[in-house]
Amino acid sequence: MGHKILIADDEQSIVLSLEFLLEARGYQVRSVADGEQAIAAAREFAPDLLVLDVMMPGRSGYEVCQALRADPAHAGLKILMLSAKGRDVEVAKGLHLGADAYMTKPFSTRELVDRVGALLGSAQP
Amino acid sequence: MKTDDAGATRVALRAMALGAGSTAALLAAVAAVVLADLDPDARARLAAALGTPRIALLALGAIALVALVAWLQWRWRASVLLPAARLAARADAAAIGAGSGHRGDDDPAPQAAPLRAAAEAVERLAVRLAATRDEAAARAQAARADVDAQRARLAALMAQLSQAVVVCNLEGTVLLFNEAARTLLARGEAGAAAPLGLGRSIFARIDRALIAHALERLATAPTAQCLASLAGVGLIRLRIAGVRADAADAAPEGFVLLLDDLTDDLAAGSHQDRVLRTLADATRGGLANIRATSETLADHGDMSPERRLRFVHAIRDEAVRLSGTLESAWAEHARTSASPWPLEEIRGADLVRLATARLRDKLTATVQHDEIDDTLWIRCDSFALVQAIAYLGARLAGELQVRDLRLRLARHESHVAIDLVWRGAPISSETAATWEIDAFRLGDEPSDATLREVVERHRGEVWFQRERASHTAYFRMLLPPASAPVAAGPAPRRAASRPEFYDFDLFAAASLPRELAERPLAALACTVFDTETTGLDPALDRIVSIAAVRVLNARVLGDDSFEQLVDPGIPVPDAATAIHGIDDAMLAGQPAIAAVLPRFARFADDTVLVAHNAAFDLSFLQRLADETGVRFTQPVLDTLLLSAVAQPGESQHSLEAIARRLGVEVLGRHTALGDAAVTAEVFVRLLPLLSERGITTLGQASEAAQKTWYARLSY
Repeated sequence: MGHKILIADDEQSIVLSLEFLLEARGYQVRSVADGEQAIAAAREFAPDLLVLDVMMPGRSGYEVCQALRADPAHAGLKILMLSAKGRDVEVAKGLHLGADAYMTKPFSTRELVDRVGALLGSAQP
Repeated sequence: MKTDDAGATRVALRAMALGAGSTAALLAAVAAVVLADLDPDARARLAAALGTPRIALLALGAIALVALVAWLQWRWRASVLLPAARLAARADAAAIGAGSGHRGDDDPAPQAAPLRAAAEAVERLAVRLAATRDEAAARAQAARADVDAQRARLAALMAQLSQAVVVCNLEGTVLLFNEAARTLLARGEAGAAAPLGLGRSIFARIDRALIAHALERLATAPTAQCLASLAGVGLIRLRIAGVRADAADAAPEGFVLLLDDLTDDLAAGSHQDRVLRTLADATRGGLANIRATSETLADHGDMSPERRLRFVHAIRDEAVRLSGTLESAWAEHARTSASPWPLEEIRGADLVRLATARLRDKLTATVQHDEIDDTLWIRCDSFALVQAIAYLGARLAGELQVRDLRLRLARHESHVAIDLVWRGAPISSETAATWEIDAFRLGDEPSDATLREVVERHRGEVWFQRERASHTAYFRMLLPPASAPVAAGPAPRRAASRPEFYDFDLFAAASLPRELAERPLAALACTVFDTETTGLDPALDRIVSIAAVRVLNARVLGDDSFEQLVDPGIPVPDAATAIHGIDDAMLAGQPAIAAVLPRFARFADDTVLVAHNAAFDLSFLQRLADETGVRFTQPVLDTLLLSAVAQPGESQHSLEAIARRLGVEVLGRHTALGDAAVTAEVFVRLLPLLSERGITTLGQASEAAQKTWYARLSY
């Protein structure tokens, strides 16, 4: 059984591709479309990695990241932040708040899958 | 009136002198008539009664009587008339303020008691009058000094403004301007030809119709603004406001111009525009390809696998290309765009000190700050940032009862982080998010700004974070850094002398009589000039140097000068070089007079020409009129002639002699600019002397000068 990956993004077309690609790599994938659901799913699904979009309705990706990082239950969780916001202060904010990686949209799907693999490489399933 | 009184006194004295001499003759005549009237009998009786010795006695008595009358008259004159006349003169002198408070020693006190009392009363009056007069003069002087000090303060203030400011009266005459305005309007050839100067017309640089249009709009609005294309500068924005002496609804006496150079903004704007258009075009093309390809794919599920693959690859290639286009446009935008908000560089340490002081002022909590790297600068709206920090501090103290706050500021990779740190009670990320978007409320200071808005204005980010290990939490504002500014504000042009950038007396100039001859000498705009030549013959010799300084309202404007060497086209004789030190080598490559004279004429435009021995310089200029087409038709004043008018007792009226008499320091004599500067100073100091002689207008000065002996000299 592969690593568990949670995708939190409200843009369905990218979720479609990501789900497909990550499942094809043998990961268990779930997806949610807003911040509240992301926090609930993280608790219940206990993913190894969260692909987290910054701009979501309700609680933003930054808030989700901060809330999860504040919870020792998710100490081992890897967070890959995605955003259409590409300013360097925004990248800096994401990394300061605890994201392990930050990718700016649009990105190459191959590159994203590689980053996920690298982040999970050291983690135990 | 003074002359009439003195005259009357003289007439009275003369009558008395005549009277004393004639009294004896009058007595003799009376005696003769009395004797002649008596009949012989009566005469004989009289003779008998008197007897011969008695007749002798009678004669003696008559003589004594005559002497007594003469003595009485002399006493009357010495003790009453003369002192009375002196008293009248003294009262006159006191009335016009001549002499000191006390009478001269050569005036003896009157002996007659009532007169002495009158003299003492006059004396007391004179002393009191003089004291009152001194007091009034001192008060006037203090008021003047106060006005001068305020003007100096205003000038200093204006000089520090980075915004270009020009103040004019309604006729467009420049009353005040600052260094920023001078620099802006000096740009380009047009700027060099018509430099900004006190008393000059702003219309030489800015279209009169444009300003007239803006002034019309001022009738209904407090300010007006318009765009103008300015030769040598580019596009500028003009903002104009009326200057009103007292009531807001009074007609303006003048106007203030604020000038903004829009050239750079425009260049930046057009660059941003180009970036956006390139991006839109590329995106439109790329999206069209993706849309067409994907629609075809979706609508034709029956195409062959090879063809399908080609379609799919086409979509991917387009998307990759679009990504690249977007990234490069974004990078270009980030490189060239600045925040549209007016931000300024501030030393990070200063910002933290300001914020600390503000927090301490508003809160009961203790506020400290860390040592801050002095080389850290940030580009920000310091007021808004301090307000943001105070707002956060107030909420922390008010809602979380935080008692200890600490400010720190440090470099973070390529940014500067300002942290407001507290120990203990953290807040939830939801609360933090709310605080970010709540409008500031700082006691009685309402504000529409929010933390998020302020930070975004700085193109920064803000967030709340906890440091578990140290049990602290902080709000961090991450801001783009700035390098230390090269120069803070406009540098003063000259350290030694403050530029004479203001002259509000010109507000009054607008109401002066239009007739030039009636214009007061002390309210003239003058170009005081001097030339150096190859020799003394206007027909043969040429100008090698011409220089001028301006005098405005009896003040020498040392900064507003003209100086130009001129290639005479002929060799400079050694004798001439010996005087002015200008030789052929210095003149090589200098412009010819035909090129210089039009520039000088523009400099002197609309002013009265002043020169020492003006006839000499003018004869050179007049001879050039046909050749250059430049004619100087304005009035001319000659300091040599004016000196002869002002000090007719003096025989020497050379520039050195006058300068020495008037206490003008002579520097750089026999350079055109040096001589022009000395002449200007001499001219200004001659004005009060001329005024004492009743010569106060241009017309009177010209007339008086014509009449002096020197005026008949010709060159």
